[in-house]
Amino acid sequence: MVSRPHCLYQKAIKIGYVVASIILFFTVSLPLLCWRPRFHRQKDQLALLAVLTALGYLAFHVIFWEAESRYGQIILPALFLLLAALPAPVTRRQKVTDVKRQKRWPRVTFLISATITIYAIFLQSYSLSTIAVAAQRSQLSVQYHAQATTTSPGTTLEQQVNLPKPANTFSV
Amino acid sequence: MTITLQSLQSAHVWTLTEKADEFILKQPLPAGSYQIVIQNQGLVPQLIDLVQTNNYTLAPFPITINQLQNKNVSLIYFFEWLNMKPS
Repeated sequence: MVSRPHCLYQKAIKIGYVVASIILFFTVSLPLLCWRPRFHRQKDQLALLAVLTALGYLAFHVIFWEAESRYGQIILPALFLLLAALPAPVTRRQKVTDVKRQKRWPRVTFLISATITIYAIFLQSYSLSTIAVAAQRSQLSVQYHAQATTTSPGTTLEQQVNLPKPANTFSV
Repeated sequence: MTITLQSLQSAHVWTLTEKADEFILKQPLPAGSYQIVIQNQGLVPQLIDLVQTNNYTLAPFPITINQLQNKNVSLIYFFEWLNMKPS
């Protein structure tokens, strides 16, 4: 295990970003679940448009194109728009006495924090553990593989590489 | 086909092992300069993943194919640091 400062900084940023995204998703999905659209209101029309755009975009990538996490970033503006346009969640539970609501909140908070913790642990142990030191990739995306070149017998190929940092895995 | 990695500082040579469709070396490598050498000593042509462009210079050092330099071609390589759990 190494703990270099830039490595910790990367980790902090990644975990912070994931936590912020999860909180954003929760805060958007709660009013969405309780949303009763009334389309004579302009705000609700706008919100519906944002929902349709986001869902259509995601469906396009999942069904027709390829899905990668970075493609999802573009629905962020739609989510912010939803946050602004959606009315505060109105549920029947609001009429229930305050005592009952107080009991519910610790559970919701626990669920949210548990999800965040699990994600943080997951990130910590998997995707964060790889650092590219030096690389030359193909011009094609990884899943399409590179075009192979034929080398005739007796050929020697040489290439020099400089490693700015130590590495422990090398593949060609 | 053999692929070796040579440290230009210590002149140490490691031989890569074939795994699926790529050659892998799992070995702590200190920072510094290295030379990748691929030799096809067999009798049949072999396929190698190369990235090739018409006009763009790729990796910081050009590839040398049979003593012939070509700065628009590069091997596809990947040096990474994996945090392995102490076991």
